[in-house]
Amino acid sequence: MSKVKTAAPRKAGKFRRQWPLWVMIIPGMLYLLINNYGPMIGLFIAFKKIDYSKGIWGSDWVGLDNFEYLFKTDAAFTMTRNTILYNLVFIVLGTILGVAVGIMLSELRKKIEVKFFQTVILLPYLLSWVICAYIGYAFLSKETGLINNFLEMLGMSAVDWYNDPGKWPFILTFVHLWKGIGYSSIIYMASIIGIDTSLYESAMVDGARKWQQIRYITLPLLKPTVIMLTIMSIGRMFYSDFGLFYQMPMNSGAVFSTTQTIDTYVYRALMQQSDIAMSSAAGFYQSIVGFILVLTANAVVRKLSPENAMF
Amino acid sequence: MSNVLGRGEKIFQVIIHIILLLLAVCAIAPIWILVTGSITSEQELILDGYSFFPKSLSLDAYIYLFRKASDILRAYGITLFITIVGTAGSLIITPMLAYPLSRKDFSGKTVIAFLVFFTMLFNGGIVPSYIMWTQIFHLKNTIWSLILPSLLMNGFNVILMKNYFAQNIPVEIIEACKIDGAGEFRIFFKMILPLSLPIMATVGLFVGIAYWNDWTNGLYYVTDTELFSLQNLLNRILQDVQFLSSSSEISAAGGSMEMPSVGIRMAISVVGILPIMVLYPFFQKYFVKGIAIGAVKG
Amino acid sequence: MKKSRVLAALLTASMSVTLLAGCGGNSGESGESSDGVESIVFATPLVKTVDMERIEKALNEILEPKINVHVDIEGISMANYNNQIGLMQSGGEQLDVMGYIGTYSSWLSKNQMLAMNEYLDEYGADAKEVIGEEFLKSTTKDGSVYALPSLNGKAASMTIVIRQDLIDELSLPVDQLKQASSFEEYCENLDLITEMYAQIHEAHPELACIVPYSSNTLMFTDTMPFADRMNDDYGVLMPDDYETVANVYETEEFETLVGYAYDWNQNGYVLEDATTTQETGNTYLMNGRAASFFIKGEEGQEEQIETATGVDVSAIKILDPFITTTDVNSMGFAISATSEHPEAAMKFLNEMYTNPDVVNLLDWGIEGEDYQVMGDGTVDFPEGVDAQTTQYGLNMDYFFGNQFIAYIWGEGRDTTLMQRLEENNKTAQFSPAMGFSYDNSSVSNEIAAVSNVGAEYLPGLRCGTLNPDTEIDKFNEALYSAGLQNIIDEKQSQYDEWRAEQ
Repeated sequence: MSKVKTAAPRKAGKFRRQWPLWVMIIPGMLYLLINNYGPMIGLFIAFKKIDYSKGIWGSDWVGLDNFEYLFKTDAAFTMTRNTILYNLVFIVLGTILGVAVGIMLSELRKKIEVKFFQTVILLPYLLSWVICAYIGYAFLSKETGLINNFLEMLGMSAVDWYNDPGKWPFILTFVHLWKGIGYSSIIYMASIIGIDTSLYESAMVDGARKWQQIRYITLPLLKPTVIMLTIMSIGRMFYSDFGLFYQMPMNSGAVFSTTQTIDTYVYRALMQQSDIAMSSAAGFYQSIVGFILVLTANAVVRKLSPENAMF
Repeated sequence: MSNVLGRGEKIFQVIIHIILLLLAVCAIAPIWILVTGSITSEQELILDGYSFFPKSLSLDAYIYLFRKASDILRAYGITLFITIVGTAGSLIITPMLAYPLSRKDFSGKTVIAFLVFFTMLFNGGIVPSYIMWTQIFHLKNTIWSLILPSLLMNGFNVILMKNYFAQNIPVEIIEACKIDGAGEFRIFFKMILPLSLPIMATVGLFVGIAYWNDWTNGLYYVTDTELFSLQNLLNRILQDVQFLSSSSEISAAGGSMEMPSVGIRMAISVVGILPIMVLYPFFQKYFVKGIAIGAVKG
Repeated sequence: MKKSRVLAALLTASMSVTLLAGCGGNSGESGESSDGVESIVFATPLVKTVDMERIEKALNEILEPKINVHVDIEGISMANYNNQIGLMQSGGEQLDVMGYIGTYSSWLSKNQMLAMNEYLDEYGADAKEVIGEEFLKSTTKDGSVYALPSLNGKAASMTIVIRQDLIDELSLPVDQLKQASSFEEYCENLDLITEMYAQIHEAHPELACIVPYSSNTLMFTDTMPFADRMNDDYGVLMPDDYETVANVYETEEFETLVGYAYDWNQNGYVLEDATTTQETGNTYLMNGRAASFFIKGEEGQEEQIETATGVDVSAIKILDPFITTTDVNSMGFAISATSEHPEAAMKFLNEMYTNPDVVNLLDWGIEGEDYQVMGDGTVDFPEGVDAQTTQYGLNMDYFFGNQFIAYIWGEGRDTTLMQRLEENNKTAQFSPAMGFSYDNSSVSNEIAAVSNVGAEYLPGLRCGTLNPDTEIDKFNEALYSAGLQNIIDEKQSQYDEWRAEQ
């Protein structure tokens, strides 16, 4: 400490005043160190050919060999395209709907209504993907599906959902929003609740309509949250929700062209071999791309509105 | 706010009610299918599929679960314990990390924020985490293995909170407190946290759900059946069913393919979400309280 | 102010304690204890969640006095088994004996198993003898034995299971089905079955004539008669030339087989949801949806299906058995490459193949609690216990060591079953490549790509939803562009090498 003091007395003075803040972050940072940074050392596995008799440390280095299967395949284009497009759609629609529902929930006046709607909208989030897939199957099954039963009742012909790739972008987007909207709307709702109510009151005194209040008070104040969540989603651009893309289509091969993402490809590729080096390589690749995208996005944000940049 | 609604306000209310009702129907319909699925006879499910109003009811699945009541109750206990302890722990360390990051005058702000954010992008995967928690901390087959790995705190929640603090806590309040002679800890515990109930409730909810629904920790770190949580129990059944129905080795070797019926799988799932459905509305008062304090604060 | 500092310090301290609390527990269980008993860890896949502690206790009561070995059973959910073993091995956790189902070749290519020859000769001579030279070849590579295959009926062959009441009602000519010894004869069987399905479909349009028994395949479409799958179907030995590795999906035979499936599907004989269903054939049978399904099965399956479903069925073998390396080494037991107690591990394995008490315990649980011996020499649930209330009920008798020395489950079942299974194992035709297992680590990228192509086309072809006339060509094109030729070449060169050594 004394060294710092002589070098930069002002900084050290600040530190002396701020030491409680530094103490506060200790447990959290310690946890990140153990839970996240420690295991990151393990990323080196991605560059090894695992031989258990030598142990993971002693296995041979193979450079980038473990990454090859992600690129040297015809499926590379499809899975990358699908992953990116789905993420883009999810980010855009998820944000719009999340904000909209968040606002609507915060506008409800009766307590009982808030309780009811919030609980109900959150329910799908609580189900595991396998169960969601069963429910999806209940609707989409060719033999006994509710939708096909309904179509037949109307005298229309049944649709073979699990063999029709054209339908899946819509189904998956719907299911994603259905399952996630409760979650994201709560984030926005919490932000809205935190907004100083006096702002609305003075707006009302000025005769602002509801829509104007939302347009000029709520939305601008939600902007930082939206930007933050978007940047975080951009970091996961090359990831996909495995359960959504693998379980929901019931692993149906016929719809791979619209359901295959990087994660499902990796899963199927390694099912037989179960190679931890290759799966770790996939994770590394997804992270690196995400990292670059985030840095870019953050730089753009820093340019446009510095106060909203993440770091 | 005024209690007299203008005409525009009335229309607005009608519209949001219609939209929310639609969303609610979308959310409830599948859950309804889940619940009716668990009480429909297996024969009807196989022959006619699911329906909103099943013809032949059967409580077989619940009778089966009832006969396993001691396992289920213990699993409930485990789930409840890890959810409470984990959420409490998380609600202590997450804001403690998030708050300094929200302070514009905190000198480590940028670096630490980046360090936190970085953990959201990169992870070493399950192998090194497993080695860390089992070989260094020896958590395997302990209750802590369901609480500590990966769930206790994550970068997302930290940033969410940091963002909230930065936006909703006026700097003037902190300054005023300092002038009054309050130390950083006092400001944090006495001012910041009470003013942040909505975000505490949000993060608490997220963490609580994550603990309630978690089964991966149980899958990797627990083989002792006494430590199985509810979701662990359910997901093992689901995964094993999936595996069994896609394995050719076992039937070729003359193994039987008996597995729990769909009804049972659905019934366990219902049992798993029921408590949240019941408890969540009580939890919600914290969201509302935030409004009141917000008003006082203003 | 002071108070809150104290509070914060307390919180911090309590968190660190929480973090450290896990330390110190759970260690020091392994190794040799003072009384000379060596502790080993035995990992086993389980088809369902059961509490293995009682079994472990009873097992050690047998083992400790007899061979001075204490066994810790780690029962692991089957779906996660392979991952978990990888974790345990890379983490340096103690692991000695590992059972496996279907992961032999993946383990072989990553050196996860210990070459056990010296221990086998010294401590496992009895096990070696009961398994026999021929079967042990399946788990031997370059002279090293890596695992002991489970002893069970290996001569499983294509079998059609049909509802007995339909056979009676429509007088289906099932007695004309014969155990085919050539592809032509096999097709005659399938033609006959086509006619039967037409009859069933006409009389009972509400029934699905055929449903998948498991894995979203009609079964007969993915087993090429008398071909050696060579572990993964990508590159096989066809019966007309057992020396050259061929692409099975290009053969006329494959086209013929999936052609049947397609025609059946077109005629409405196949369950419509065949490619996506997650239910097994048994469920469809039990609930009156299925008229028949194909299984790859052995004797005794008929009774087993009847017990499971409560439906009277007839199971008829329609193909001669043909045993390949993959059939034999599909499940078994290995010693972990990381094991520090290979002798003790082998001593335990030896018991699993020769000691009926050990096998019965693992198969059926504890006598008096989980099962009882009936008058006819079979075993069944004791008084007051049934399939739903049993604490064990794994029914993995096909898996744990030597099935032939265990009791048969189910009162009233034919107790000569085991002798017949054993006899079939001896008389069945063996693949000329019996004992060849290949190491796919040099073509792992190709396997990755090819697996994805397979997942895309195979369910559709195998269940008859894809038209073979157009889709087989597309499938093959995709396979080759994914690198199938490299896999075939690699297999061929390893196979040639192996044959030169024989």
